Amino acid sequence: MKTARDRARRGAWAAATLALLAACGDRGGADGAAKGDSAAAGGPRQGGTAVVAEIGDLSRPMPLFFQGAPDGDMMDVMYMALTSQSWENGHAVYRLSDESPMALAWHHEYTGPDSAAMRFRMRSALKWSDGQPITAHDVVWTYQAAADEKTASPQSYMTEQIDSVQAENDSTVVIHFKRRYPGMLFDAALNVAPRHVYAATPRDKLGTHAVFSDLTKMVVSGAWMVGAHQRGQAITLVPNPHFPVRPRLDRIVMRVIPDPQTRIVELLNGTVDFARGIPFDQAPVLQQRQPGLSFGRESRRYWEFVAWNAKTVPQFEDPQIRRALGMAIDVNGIMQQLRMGDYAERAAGPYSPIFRDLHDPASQPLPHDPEGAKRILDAQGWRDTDNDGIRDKDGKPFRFTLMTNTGNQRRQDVVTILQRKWKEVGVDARIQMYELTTFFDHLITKRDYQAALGSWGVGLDADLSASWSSQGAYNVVGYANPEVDAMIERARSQPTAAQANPLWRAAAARIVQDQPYTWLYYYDNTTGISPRLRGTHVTSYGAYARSWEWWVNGGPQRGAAPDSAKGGSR
Amino acid sequence: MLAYLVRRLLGAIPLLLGILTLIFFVLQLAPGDPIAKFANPNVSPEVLEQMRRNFGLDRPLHEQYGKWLWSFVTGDFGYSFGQMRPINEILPGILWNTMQLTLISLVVIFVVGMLIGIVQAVRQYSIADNVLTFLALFFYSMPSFWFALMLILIFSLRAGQDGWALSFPASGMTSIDYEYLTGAEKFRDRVMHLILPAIALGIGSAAGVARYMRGAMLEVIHQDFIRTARAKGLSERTVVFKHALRNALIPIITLLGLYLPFLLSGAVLVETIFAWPGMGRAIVDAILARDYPMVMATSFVIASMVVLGNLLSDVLYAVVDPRIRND
Repeated sequence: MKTARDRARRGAWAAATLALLAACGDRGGADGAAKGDSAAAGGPRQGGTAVVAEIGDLSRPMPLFFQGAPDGDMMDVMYMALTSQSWENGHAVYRLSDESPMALAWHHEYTGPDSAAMRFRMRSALKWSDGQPITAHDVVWTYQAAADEKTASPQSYMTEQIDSVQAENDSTVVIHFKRRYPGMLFDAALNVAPRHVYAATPRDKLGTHAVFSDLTKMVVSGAWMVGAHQRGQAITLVPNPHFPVRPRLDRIVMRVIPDPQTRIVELLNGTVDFARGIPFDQAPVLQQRQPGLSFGRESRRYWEFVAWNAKTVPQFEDPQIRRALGMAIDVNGIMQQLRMGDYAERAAGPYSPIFRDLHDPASQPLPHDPEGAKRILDAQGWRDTDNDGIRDKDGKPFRFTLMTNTGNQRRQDVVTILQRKWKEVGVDARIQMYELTTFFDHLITKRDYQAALGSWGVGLDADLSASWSSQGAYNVVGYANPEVDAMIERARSQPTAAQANPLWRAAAARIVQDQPYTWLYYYDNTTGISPRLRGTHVTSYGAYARSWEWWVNGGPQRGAAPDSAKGGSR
Repeated sequence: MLAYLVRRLLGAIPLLLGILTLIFFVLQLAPGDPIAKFANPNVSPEVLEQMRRNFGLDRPLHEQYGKWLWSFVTGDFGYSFGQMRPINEILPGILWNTMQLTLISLVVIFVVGMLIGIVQAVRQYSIADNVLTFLALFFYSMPSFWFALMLILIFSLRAGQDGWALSFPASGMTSIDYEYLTGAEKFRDRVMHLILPAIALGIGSAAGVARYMRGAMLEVIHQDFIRTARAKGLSERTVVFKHALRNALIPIITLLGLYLPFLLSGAVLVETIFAWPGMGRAIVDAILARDYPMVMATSFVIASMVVLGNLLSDVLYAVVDPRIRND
């Protein structure tokens, strides 16, 4: 599962990984809506504990080093940024402090030649959880540390287009960008780390800072801080006393439950209120079984694909062959057979439907047309000359190995279906399953696979270069189209989204024509929510947005003592 | 005996070093590295390379090995790339968590297994013997992860939803309100969390022990000295538990030695399903993340337990059967 911040980045990110566990679900409506507040008798109440089931433990939930979930989720919970990001109506939205308590700045303006700089005026009197003031110097230090190659920060990409960051005084900071571009606000929203805690540590040692051994000592600016941490078991988040808004809950207990079935049982049991990573193909069944449950969707944040590696299988260089193999697949049948419901939808191109300005609704997915596929294969010279059921050309049978990862039942089912469908058109696919790290090693590092079934996370940025330009660091299919390269370059050099978007759409359309991947479906990342927990805001951006508004309706979890009986804070 | 113990322990040192050296180099052959998890389109190859430098993964293999070996002999297991903290801080916690679970499981395995085996042997071919044989084989052949899920579904989910008098927690080591409980409540809470995973972990092996116990007891129970004991008028209880059982214990002690490493290595699937933060989960997570130092540290613990388990077996042989001499 990717996190809000990971997701919010350029290029479609590949997360075959937790796409494994990822799932979907909505509380029956569009994402972004608070859950049934009005339905609850008496409205929001103060106090109580919410229990979250997370897939893994926290590791380095710090703005310079977070990677993946749940560390990345904690950025929305534990650290403020100059502006507060969210995703609404198909767009990234950046809020200032008058709209979000997670924003440090109350005002921003474009400045400098070509408006290639931004000045942010920060709220005064903001404090870190240890009582120290939050100043513009924290912002400057965070950007400098992220940009320093010695830090090796996974977030350094947010500083690539930044020339310098300067504090004009304690509450005014100016970010000078190398040029004007649509993603300036995004890059200006790096979560800010406390300079007074980390500045004394050499940059190459920041990643192993002692605070990562005891997260209760972590100094934060957001609504919650780590109150207790039992490694591998549970993280107790308690309100940060210096955050401008007092959260409704007294605490959030994040339990580490790696097994998805156990998370589901705990959710059904009522012992967990917010279960992350519910496999999306199980959400419809669970909702039927327990109608009180709802499912928060990070909508269409992953897309499942078959990648064709033209570097290892010569016939995959031919777009017609790739098209024929795609046409042999009954994607709708797969989605029905695996009961994906409305938690997935057919994918037809690089832009997920969540991009209102970039997704092309007119772009049609490949039809399921085995006869058409056969005709194309015949026309390209692949015929079954020796009557063994496998097409051949120049004495070589049409045979390749389809790689996928273990630990994901859905993918295991899908590869079996794919193998059968290709067999029907005379193509022999052999299945190879790898453990996830090895799968990535073959797919991303060595790129020695032939075909792969996996999924990428959907970045919330328009930029297609990382995965689709011929020199893209994550162009794992070896796709090289000079026309697309030129369109991507032009789009990247545009100063505004309005100017760049038509170019991005054109590049996407061209990529779809070439079918370097066969797009299968976009699907949701799903969080199961018990009827007890209210006020959640699961959107395509993340699951923990505005967590200070969460509240519990009714008594404690099953098996837990009543609030008043023990310790007063339950 | 003491000289024997010292000799065995000294002999174990090169054995352990050999095992660890082998694991170190085999690990390097596996595809991927600890930095692979950071690879995504936002992280440039230069940043990944710097991460390797910061973690010392860019050094030549022999240098990494030398550095690891020196740290190891000075009592420092190194830094976990997966958990991002020193392994010396991680190990005690996960070892203790696992031992709580596996000690209870060992009791289940041996007490339940031996009792069933004895009953079966004493009542050979009776209905009880046949039923217990069936049950033993049933549980013995059941995969522990499936059994664990069934236990959760029945004794946690079903019991909770149907309002049974007793239902167990599905996962975790303690309840979320543990810190607010009294001493007695805390003890009860921990026991309640232990029961299902301990049963899931122990029942299959208990069935195995029962089969061994039955076989060993049957061999002993038909021997002349048992008949003599009965002829002397000793009670059946004395005959079985004092005379027969002690002589039938040798294969069970061998099993105990074999189970000892399990005491610390934990059980991967059961720990994962019950969200029990023990060694088993840590080992698998470390292997999947290519967290080399953590794999080395946990391998050392397990290899040491194998050596100690074998040693303990050899010593116990002499204790239960004075005819066996280790000198």
